Amino acid sequence: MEEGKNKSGEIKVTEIIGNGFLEQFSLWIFLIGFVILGSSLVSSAEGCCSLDSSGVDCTYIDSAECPSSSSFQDFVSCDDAAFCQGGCCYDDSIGSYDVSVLEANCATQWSPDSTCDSVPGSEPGCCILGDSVNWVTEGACAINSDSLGVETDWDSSISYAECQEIPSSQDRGACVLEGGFCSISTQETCSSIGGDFSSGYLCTALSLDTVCLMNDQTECVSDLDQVYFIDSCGNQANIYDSSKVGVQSYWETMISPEQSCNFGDSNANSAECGNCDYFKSSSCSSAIEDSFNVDYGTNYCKDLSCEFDGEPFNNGDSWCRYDGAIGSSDDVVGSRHWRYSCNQGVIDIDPCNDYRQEVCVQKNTKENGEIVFREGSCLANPWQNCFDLNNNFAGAELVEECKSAISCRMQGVSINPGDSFGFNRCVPQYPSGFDLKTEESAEEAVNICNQGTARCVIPRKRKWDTSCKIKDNAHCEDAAFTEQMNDFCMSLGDCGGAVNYNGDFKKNYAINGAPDLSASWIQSLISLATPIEGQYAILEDYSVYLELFGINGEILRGRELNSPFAAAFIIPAYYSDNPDWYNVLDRPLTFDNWYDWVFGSCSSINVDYSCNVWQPPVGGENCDACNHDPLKPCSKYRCETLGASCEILNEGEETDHPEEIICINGGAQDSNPPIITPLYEVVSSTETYSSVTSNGYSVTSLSGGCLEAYVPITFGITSDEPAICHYDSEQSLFENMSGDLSQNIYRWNHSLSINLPDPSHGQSLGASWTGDLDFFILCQDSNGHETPNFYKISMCVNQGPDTSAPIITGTSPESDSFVSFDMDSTDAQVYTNELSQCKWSLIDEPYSSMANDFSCIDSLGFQSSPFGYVCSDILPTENETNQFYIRCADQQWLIGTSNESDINANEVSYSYVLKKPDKKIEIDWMTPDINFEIASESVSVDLNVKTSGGGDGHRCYYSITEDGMNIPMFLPDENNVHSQPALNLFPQQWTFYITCVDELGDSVEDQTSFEIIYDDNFPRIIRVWDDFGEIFLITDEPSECRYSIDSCSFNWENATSMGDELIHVIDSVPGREYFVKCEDEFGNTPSGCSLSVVAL
Amino acid sequence: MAFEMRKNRLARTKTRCTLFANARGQVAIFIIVAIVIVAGILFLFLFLGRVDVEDPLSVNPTKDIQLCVEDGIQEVVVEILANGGIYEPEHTFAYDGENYTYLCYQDADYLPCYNSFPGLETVIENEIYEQSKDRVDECFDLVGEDLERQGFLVEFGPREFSVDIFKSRIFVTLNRPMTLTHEETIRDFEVFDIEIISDLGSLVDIAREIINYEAQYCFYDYHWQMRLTPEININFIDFQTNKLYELENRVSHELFKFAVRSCPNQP
Repeated sequence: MEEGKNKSGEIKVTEIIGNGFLEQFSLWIFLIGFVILGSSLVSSAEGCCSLDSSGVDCTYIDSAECPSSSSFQDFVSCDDAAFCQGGCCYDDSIGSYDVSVLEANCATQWSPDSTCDSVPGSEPGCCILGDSVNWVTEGACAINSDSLGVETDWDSSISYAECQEIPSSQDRGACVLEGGFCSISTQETCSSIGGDFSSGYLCTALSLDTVCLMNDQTECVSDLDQVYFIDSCGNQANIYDSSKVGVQSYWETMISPEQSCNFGDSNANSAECGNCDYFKSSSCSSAIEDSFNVDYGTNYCKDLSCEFDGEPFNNGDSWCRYDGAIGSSDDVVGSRHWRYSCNQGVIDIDPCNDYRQEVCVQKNTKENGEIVFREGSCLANPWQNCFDLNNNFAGAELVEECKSAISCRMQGVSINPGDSFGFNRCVPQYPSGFDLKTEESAEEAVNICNQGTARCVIPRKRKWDTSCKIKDNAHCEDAAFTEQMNDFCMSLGDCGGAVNYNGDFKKNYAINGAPDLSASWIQSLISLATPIEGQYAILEDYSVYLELFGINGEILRGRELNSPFAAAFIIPAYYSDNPDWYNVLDRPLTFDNWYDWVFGSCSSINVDYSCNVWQPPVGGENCDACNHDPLKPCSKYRCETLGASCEILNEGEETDHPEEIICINGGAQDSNPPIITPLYEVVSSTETYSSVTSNGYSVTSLSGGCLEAYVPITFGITSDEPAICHYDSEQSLFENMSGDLSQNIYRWNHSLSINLPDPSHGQSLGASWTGDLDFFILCQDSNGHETPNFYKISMCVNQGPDTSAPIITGTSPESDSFVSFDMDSTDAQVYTNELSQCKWSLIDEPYSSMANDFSCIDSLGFQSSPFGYVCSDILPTENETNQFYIRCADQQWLIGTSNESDINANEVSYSYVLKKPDKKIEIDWMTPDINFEIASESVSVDLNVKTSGGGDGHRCYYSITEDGMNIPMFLPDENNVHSQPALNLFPQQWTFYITCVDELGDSVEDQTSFEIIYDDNFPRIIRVWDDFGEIFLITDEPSECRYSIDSCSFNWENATSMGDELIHVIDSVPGREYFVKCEDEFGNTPSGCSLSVVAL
Repeated sequence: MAFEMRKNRLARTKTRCTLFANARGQVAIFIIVAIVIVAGILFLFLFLGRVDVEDPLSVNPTKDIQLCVEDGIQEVVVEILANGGIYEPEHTFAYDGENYTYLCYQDADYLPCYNSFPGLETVIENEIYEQSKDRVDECFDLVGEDLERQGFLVEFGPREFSVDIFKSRIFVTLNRPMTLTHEETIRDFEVFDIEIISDLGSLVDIAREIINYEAQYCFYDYHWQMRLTPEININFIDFQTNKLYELENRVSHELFKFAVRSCPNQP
């Protein structure tokens, strides 16, 4: 027997059938085929190729496709292949350092440190080159300085911003050469070319007697904002001022911008004054190119500001806009976060990733209460992490973790404080959107939305007057149930009754037992499609991420990054290596309300909310709404949420012209409804289709008769175009049908798995069902075309007497599985194929003798699990191995009646074992755990944690503060080593707090501490002694020492080595003097000798 | 204007008529014409196919060679700018009719790219050198041939040629001993260094910055870079799994473009 899951998630049982001869023949065919195939498999394996035939590094391909000149490692991903490890390629002679370079591609020096952080000399700094600056390494600075003939002036202690300001602070002036030639430069540059320097003077100063004369020409100067006059020699003079043309006094000395025309104004679009100010959104630009009429010269102050929605923005500003309300899971379907920026007078549209995979966060800088700078940035939306937390934490711990996690929030359902129904889950602040056109993505969407499907059971009991009294959860029948459940459903993603960004509401949920959402409630949902002025995504605290990944102010190569925003790219990297973020929270509840047609009694009332994937309105009449806003270009996601038949054109095509990407009604030509035919692939092994016509068929046993009760059956239909199909026991309107064959996804194949009860059971409860059942089906395509006639699927169930005992179809946890090491009891569930009462005992004894009852609250026809009727209890699990015996009995309603003897109980116990792991999950080791030295200001560190014991699914988190946010580490390898690579750490004392959990609910905490020591000191000799022809030296740190007998200034390469540890030895000659120098691993070495010693 | 032309034509016609009316004058004309013809013939023989040799001491081929080499290098630089630093790239991405050279590439999903051209400045310097060296030799040959036609004996020594890129210029070191001999005058030339104003260096600096960030973080804040260096406009195109960068100097309009594929399909 083989188990598998069909498309609706139900378990399907199939059987492999074969007779003796057929089996043997098939086996030979299989073996022969395997040999043939196997030989080809052996000769052609997939693996990592260092360089494929098209010149691409590190590709995972077939070995036959890898050139013979390349390296190949079979069955190894390139991430793990030795020759595909990126490192630092550097040439310290020219100060060049490049990250993530394969060793094979590096023609100079290569270090395995892919970030170059630990490679000496890689740190950039400010290189002053005469009257300009460069932000480069010291080596590169030396090269540049040498080319200009100036002294190397490199400083790593000042910031990038401070470096940029240096040129303006340098002393400049006229440099007069022989013959009256003149240029503007610094004194240093002037001296190097042998000129006479006059600080603060222009070349047109009369006293300098140069050949340079006043002019009315202007130019833009690199690195300066303003428009400058140029003299007849082409030298920069003072800022353009039309009133100063021909005025000699303006051409004598250098005049600062502060003393020039209209200082303080932007002077944008001024024909007379060129005193531009970049920070006021103006800068020198060509008047000719921009067709601007300036009084003199060819340049002017171009206006770099922008206007958006009637609001002015400065050059460099970036800001966020949204399609509706955001946060608190309010983001509407199809919405996107938009980022705009003003780039030199042009508005750039830079939308955040679609499907809300990124959110736009805006930070405003104010001065004197006024906004002077706006900065918007798209940050990754780690919504998967919110769901993941539900799998690893619970209760108060879950609340704490969720609140400290980025972009997560708690969403609960609690209809009435006194009711037992309710729950609290961690959900995303900004729920993700779904691509329903991709099968894999659509199935994931169904699974996500299914988390929002729930049943509120309202238990009742008969009163003395035979009426039914509600014992609990009475308020589940109120509108509040639907409202809260729908809110929870919406918080999961594009699910439930929600609106799209166009304000179109679509129901996409099913409710049974409680009212639908009211019109006013729906109106409040529609209002979410209107952006709220002044609302921005929350700027959360990314500092932990930033600090650990080396993004903190000036640290990252001296760049002053906008620290809150630079972490965006880190978060997705985690999820790329952790595909298992998503686990089903609980088994989704099934929703078999069609039994309402059949049974009705004083049983529990079930109020069911089914959270479905959000589907857009049928048809495509709103598709064009995507095409009208040039500031919000259409995309596939936006288009497809406007209508079920909306399609996007030209997206993904080679064009950067947004106006060519349009949304059209792809179903405009389709006027035909779906055609339905039987789906044969899903039919179970115990049934078949009979009487097949174009209007339906019957599901029968293999012999053509009725089906057996309590045996799961599966049947289905296929449509000739993607459609959504509904069913009901009566002929009704499509939108009123109570069953959904398609899980609200447009599909080709639609199926249903059910478990039919024995009609006699219902009859004994007063029901009149005889076992015949009809399903009436209608299907609708994306254009709203419905099948004109009902497609009917009929079946019947054999009626009792029921002479078989219940079958235990499964348990949770499964038998022989592990349970929590710490806990002395475990919640367990038993599934049966028919409504039963189950008991358990520690010894194998008859059902009637078993003293412990399971709690079985399902009612006939309402099994709360796809695996069957559910009974649950808390079992004691104190021992390493815990053996239980379970038996069940059916027809409990016969107790106390004359037919009580018809009750069937299991004669053989179901053996159920729950084990504890040998030991609880524990942390074996963590690294780093010892102090170490570095020679740079930061170092890339891999944090590793090894766990053992406990269950099979370990997850570890780390934090740098005891109560701080726990950051998930990468999934463990096969040795249960969890890693967090590439932490950028600085010299200081570090403590990492580690928490590891397993799937059994156990956890362990530990911490590792170490100090990173910045070592820029050369090794010192702390002891020296002579011993019979040998001189011994001890250094204070491991180092390589060499000596010479000539002098202290000896050539290191030619000197004699004395060893590279702590103790060093010289085979000495008495009376000879030895000059010793020692160098540590970081290259620290004294300028002269470490020591000179005369042998005795 | 037309009226004046007609007037002049009439005036000339009148003059001709007057001349031919005088026989002595006819002879004079014939003599003048004959002198002109003879002078022309003498001119043809003396000057055609031969360039006047100016004073040998004033001939300086340096400028000619420099201009020729500079033109050649400029052509190469234009090609290199358009191809992300590689003259004839092999691994490129085509978008909207243009090819973008991959300077950093990763085939697998989610992983940062490998820097394909570490030491990009050096790579570009070598590219310029390789693509220009033949042109350099041609320039010397051309100038040499021209000088030979002028009657010089031209002798060349071995060539030393290198290219260095700096922030706002390309410095070409070009040394080749060149001896011109004309009768008893011997002149030596050797240094033909050239300084080309170009923003290639600053564009490459930023390109390296981008590549290093993409290779480490799969991200680059180009808006921030534009605020720091407003003279450089950065156009970023995110297309499928590729990131296309176009760096343009707003003043010189030099455009350096390339492609990166880093952390493709990252969620």
